Order: sequence, then structure tokens, then C-alpha cells
Amino acid sequence: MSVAGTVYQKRDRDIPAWGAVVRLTDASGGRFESRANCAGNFYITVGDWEPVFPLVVEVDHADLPAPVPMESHIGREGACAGCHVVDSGPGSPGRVFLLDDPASPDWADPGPQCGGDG
Amino acid sequence: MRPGARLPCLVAVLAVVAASCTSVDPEATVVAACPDELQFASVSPVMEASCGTLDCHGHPARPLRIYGERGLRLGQTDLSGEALTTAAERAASRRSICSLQPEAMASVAAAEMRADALLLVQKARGEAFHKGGAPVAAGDATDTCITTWLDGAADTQACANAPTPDP
Repeated sequence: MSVAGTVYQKRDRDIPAWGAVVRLTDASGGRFESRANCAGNFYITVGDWEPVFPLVVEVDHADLPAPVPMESHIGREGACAGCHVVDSGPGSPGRVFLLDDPASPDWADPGPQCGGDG
Repeated sequence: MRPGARLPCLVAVLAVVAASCTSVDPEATVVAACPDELQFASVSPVMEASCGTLDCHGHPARPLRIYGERGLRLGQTDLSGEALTTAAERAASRRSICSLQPEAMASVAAAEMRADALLLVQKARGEAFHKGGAPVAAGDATDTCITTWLDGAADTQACANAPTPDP
């Protein structure tokens, strides 16, 4: 894989951001889009796209008013989980999530067979 | 040749190695020097944005560690992506920068050597091998901000023009 990860709706819930569109722009100006599956996972193979780091990323979703830009660029790590571990702390912002407000309505949960709370 | 015939040669090599090891002066010291702390307040956000992402130098195991609000936090209860960069984090980043090559940094601080001779600058420009490629180009705003600070007088306008975590 050249880039891969899992996108969630909220910081602390296993609600996959089903159908989220991950848009990446690399250092050469090349662009690539990938859509998250029902588990929130997206994958870009080296055969599909071999980006030149650093990358700038934003994620869009049908239930968002506007795309959410990643707060920093990606310097060299194509695996989102290399930095985005489940629990946020001094060395990680936590999982890749789209909504800050924990009280916002939950998006449709695809069920435990597809990464949801069930 | 008999197996034992090489022994005198090996002994001679070991003697040379041992002599060179003992020639290191255990009392030698370097006077640590580091560019201006106050000026680094302008430089830190630039380095946070260009070097300090969590997958690069925002990592506690790297010799060059850049702390900041969108990357690695110094306090164990602070969260990446939350509160603004603290003075303690800026101080820790500056210490890390100056500890990379203390002897060379002392020479730069004494104006005996230019900043572009430092590995820090050569790596950032891609002139020395750098896994992160060349995030700066010689003479761009980020490069100018960092190198002028290292050389003793940060170009604050270049620092203001360079990308930062809070554009």
C-alpha cells in the first residue's frame, strides 16, 4: 500500500465514516481520491498511485457541511495508524475522525460485521 | 601458510586499534552553544510545520525532536492537536536542534562556520540523505527563517511568510 487507513465519525466511537472520500495531494501536485468502505477503511495500492511525500489530505463525507482538512501534512508515513492510534495522547491525536462534537447524531452504523459498534 | 602464521599480524592490528582507542581524551569537553532563544519563538512554528509532523521529527525516538501543538507534546497529559505550543516545548525543540552536532553548532554560533554546513540544513534541503526528502529549498522562506536564526539573526519576515501550523 502507498496510503491506507480507517476513518471514523467521532473521536471515541467505533462508527466508521462509511463512504468518506479521502482526497490527497502530493508534493508534485498529483492528486488521488479514495472512498472508505463500510468499515471506514480506504486503501491506495502502489500500483494505483505512488505519491511524492509530503502529502496534504482532506476528508469529505455526504453528512459534512464541508471537507475536513488534516491539521498537518503527512511527512513520510503512508499508514495512518503509524501516528493515529486509538487513544489520543502526547504522541497521537487519536484515531482519524471527522466530527469533534460527541453529541452530534451518530451516522448509520453498518454493524459489527463491518467495524461498527453494532 | 600455516594457520598460526597470521597471528603476529593480528596482534599488530589489535595493538594499533587499542592504541587508537586509548588516544581519545576522556576529559575533552565542548562548550555548548545554541542560537538565540528569544528569536526561536519565530522559528519554532516554522519548524513545527515543516519538520515536526508525528511521522517525522515529532517522534520521541528521533535525534531531532520538534515539539508542538499539531505534533509531539512534551507533557504526558497534553494532547497532540489540542492546546498551543508551550514555552517548555519550544525550549525542548531548541535543545534538540542544538544537540544534534554540538561541536559544529558551537562553531556556527561563534561565526566560524555557516549554518549551511550543518547536517540539519543539508538534510532539510536534501543535500544529505534524508528519508523525508527535501521539505525546504535553499532560499525559500522556511530555509531562510531557519538558516538566518542559526547564523545569529533570524529573518522574522521570512519566518512570517513560511507555512506554520496556524496559517
